[in-house]
Amino acid sequence: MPCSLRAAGFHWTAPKGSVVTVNVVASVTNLVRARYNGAVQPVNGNSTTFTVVEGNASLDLYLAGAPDDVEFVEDCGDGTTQHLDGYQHDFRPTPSFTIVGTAA
Amino acid sequence: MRTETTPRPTLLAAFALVAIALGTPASAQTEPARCQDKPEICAYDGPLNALISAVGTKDETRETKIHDALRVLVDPNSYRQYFVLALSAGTSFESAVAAWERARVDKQVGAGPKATGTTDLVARPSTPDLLGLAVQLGALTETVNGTTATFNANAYGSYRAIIGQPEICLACADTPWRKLNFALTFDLSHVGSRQVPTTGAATPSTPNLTMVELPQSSRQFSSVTARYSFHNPLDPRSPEFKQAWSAAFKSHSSELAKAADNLAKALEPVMQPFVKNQDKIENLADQNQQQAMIAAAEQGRAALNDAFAKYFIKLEALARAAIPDLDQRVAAAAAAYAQYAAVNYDTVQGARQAPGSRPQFTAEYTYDHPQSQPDSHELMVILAWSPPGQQGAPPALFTLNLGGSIYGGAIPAGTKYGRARDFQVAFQFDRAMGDPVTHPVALSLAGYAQYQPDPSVLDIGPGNLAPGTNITLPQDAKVLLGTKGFLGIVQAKLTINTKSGVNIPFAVSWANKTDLLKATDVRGHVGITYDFESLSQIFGGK
Repeated sequence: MPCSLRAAGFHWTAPKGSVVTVNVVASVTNLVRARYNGAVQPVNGNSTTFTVVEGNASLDLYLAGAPDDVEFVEDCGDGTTQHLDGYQHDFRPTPSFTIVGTAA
Repeated sequence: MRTETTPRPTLLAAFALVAIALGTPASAQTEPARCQDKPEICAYDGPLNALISAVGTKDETRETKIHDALRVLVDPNSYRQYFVLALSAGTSFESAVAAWERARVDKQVGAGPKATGTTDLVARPSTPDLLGLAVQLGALTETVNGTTATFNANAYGSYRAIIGQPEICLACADTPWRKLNFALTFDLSHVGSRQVPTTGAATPSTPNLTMVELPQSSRQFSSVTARYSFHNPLDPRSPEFKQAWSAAFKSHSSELAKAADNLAKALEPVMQPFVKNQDKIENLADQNQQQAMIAAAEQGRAALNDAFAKYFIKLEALARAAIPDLDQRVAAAAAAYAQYAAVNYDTVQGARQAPGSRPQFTAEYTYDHPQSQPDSHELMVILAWSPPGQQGAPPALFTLNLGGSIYGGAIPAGTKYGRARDFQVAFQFDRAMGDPVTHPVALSLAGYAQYQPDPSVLDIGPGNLAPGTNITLPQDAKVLLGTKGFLGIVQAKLTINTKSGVNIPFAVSWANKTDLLKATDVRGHVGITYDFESLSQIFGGK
């Protein structure tokens, strides 16, 4: 299954209705809360899954942890992942991703 | 003591977000940013360094790292804490963070348990991050009550204050200098005197006095202390810390989620206009802007600072145009960040102090210069452990002190006391009460036991006359006062953590004796302590 998110500048696009899973890959950084388009999304370990809506919406992650190497990836569902963002030896509690949902 | 005059964030205003924003250790490429002059440079210090690091990357990850680093700088919604910190007007954020920081139960600001005037029966493991001042009235092991002023200074925090950097950075890499503190205690209550010979009577009616007592400046210096904290290393790669972190995260998860929800409510009004107008942001950060920043990063931090500052002016103008009450919204977001950072800090501390991990360990040396007693040298180890608490409960702390002291200087031949002065063991339980983050009151229950192999030594001092004679005693004249053996003290204390940042301890203690007298002793103690974090503004920092 291909990845849903397509990088476009500093935001991402995805077809409306796409189901996207984002993972936080880290040692001592945990996903506390995920919100997409203003609504709380289910968190499973360090992953969250949401359905893309049409137009601009933000995926807001709330992290807890200590300075760490962290990468945010989309779980493409076929055993592959796509890099979205990352940082090294830092703690950044509130990463966000602007996703533009396009007509399917 | 805080100053409240600046419209920009003060040191503690920056505390939580700087802890987040400056997580990357300072590198050689960093030029200290004057936070008062350019708050956006200070707020984005970590991402600016990350861009410089990214452009210096030689492998195939270079483009990805540059893109990730640029995104933080140009898109305020990417990592929202930087934008909020850069624009934070400070007041509510400052209050929230300051209240939390000052309400910590593990800080030792005043003099140690043996000082005249102390209110602290047990020394706590932590110290102020910059400067602390305590004025205390009372005494615990001493016979005579006194009033002392204690100045505490952290070596690293003071240095950063002087060069204009934010002093507190929880997420920064540990440096040995940050763990080193010094304290100076001055005795404010004693007035000295000395006997001097006269040259005869001045009037016929005056009896022939050979000696008179003159007041002299009090020897106000009381003690100097150096202490070093051996915190558990925070190594995210170690299996032990990962395991401890996992447990700590689990135990704080609902507290974190609640703080995250509050933060989300506060952030949404600030960030939603950026999300809806992502195209404007990206137009603002067009290819030319991005290339300019990359080129500047290749030239070094000063050039990048200038390039980013120019970009941020446009970004701020865009934000103000979209959000008329931006300052109010940013202030609310900053306060919510402070609360979130506080809960995260507690979680990290929980991992550091997890069962099975080493307790917090501090070693302390004190040179004590008491009035009318020989000087002494004291070594003490301080062990502290926070028990796992219920979710949302205020913190608690167990502290154990083990120490011993010896007399300093030469001990005259044939004296009836040895070099060893005493040995001590003390224990304290601190429980914060009220709000789990800023808790306005803390209760402390403590016990102290001291064994003295010999009675206390009292300096007679030069100029005194032997009783019933005109013989002036020699300079090293001393007497023993019969209180050798066991000294036990118990104490209950309430510390009020005021919103203005002043902490006021009230305590009552009972002792089976004091250092000089054999009699039970019940006393009250009162004090006032300040954290001087905002003093750094004098030096140009935040």
